[in-house]
Amino acid sequence: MKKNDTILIFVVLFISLICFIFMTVCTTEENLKASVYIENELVYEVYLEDITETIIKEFDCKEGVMTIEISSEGVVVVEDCCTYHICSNQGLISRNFETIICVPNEFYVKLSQINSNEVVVG
Amino acid sequence: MIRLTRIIILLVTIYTLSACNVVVYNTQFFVMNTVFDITLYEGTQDDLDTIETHIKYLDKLFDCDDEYEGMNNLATLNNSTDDYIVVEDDLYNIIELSLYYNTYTDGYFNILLKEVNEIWSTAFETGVFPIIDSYSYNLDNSNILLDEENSSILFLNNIKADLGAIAKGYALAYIKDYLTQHNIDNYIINAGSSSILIGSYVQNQPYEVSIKNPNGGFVDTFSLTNTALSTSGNYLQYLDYEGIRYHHIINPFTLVSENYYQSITIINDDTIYCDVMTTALFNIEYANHDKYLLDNTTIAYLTVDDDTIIKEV
Repeated sequence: MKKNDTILIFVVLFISLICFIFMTVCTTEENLKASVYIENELVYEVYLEDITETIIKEFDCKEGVMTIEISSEGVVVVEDCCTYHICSNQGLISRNFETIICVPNEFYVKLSQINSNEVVVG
Repeated sequence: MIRLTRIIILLVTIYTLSACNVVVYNTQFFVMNTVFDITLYEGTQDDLDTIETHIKYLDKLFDCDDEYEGMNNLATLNNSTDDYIVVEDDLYNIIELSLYYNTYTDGYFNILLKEVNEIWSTAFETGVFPIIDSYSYNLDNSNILLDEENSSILFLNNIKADLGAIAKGYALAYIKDYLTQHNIDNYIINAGSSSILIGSYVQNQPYEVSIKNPNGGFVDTFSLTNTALSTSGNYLQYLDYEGIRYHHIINPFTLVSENYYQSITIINDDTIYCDVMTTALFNIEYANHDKYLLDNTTIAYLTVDDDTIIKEV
């Protein structure tokens, strides 16, 4: 191995390390993301880690307005406009794979974390 | 020049690899009174589209209220008057399976509760306790006649069926077959958080599945691959009346719900078994469950006293 080859190897390794660090620091895919869908369309998305103050969001749906509260702790429906209030009864969702579903409004909130094999059901 | 080219190719390769993330195909859509959320870590967008199209077709086929042009669905059967109706294979199969499970569970699984379920749904909406005349409803499954040769079904005596307690399990069985046939192993399908089909996570790792306790914390956590899981609970749709909780899982023999459990979760690789049995077992006392349990089944109970029981067969 020539000296230049050794230098090249170290240069390549250094660059790949920089790339790896860049990707790790810049990507937010490790974080828990709240996604809101209405009638199968994504209408709002936020990473919980980015939230410093509680956010109240209102969404116009088929049956009226759905109001959710989003904090770094998770998401909860604070006011619904549906018949059985199943979505309100669901309480706070805070873990990967947890969902809030309001069928009459086709309103769907899910928490997801790309690089996680954790699943919370029930 | 050649050397420079090699270096550039090497750098691009390394950058690409360092930025490599798992390709995820994901979709979600409202069907069967819930959301199907499908995540594939393998396969193609076409696989996802094919599955979505078929599940939406099943949704129309199993609709118990609305008929659709060019299709004899469950609503067609519910609205029929003593005529055999030719139906699609999927509808024939699910009705046949429903009859099988009606026998298997000694009548505790019954698809003919449609009208009773509607009365209870109104009660949950209004908060008014319903008066139900048990003689007004025909829940006898012998009123469903199958003609296999002509793929047709006859509903006698104005019976009304609702496939809500088996449809998601049936749909998940289709998805499982599709993914198996296409050698797709890494996936997870969430049918409304209550019915889950699990392959494996990226690079065949297991999923760590926790069952939520409605009172806080978890009933239990399981490390799972290549199986299915279904949960029924009394905490999302209910009416508290004179100190008693009445929920949406109705006992076909008493026409009211039972209060043995807060939730039951079944883990087994048969998605239909999981879906059907969480409903049926909810109305049966724990001591009488053994005869209904298949091998390789795990059941997590959360009793009304907030005790957890894990049973493995």
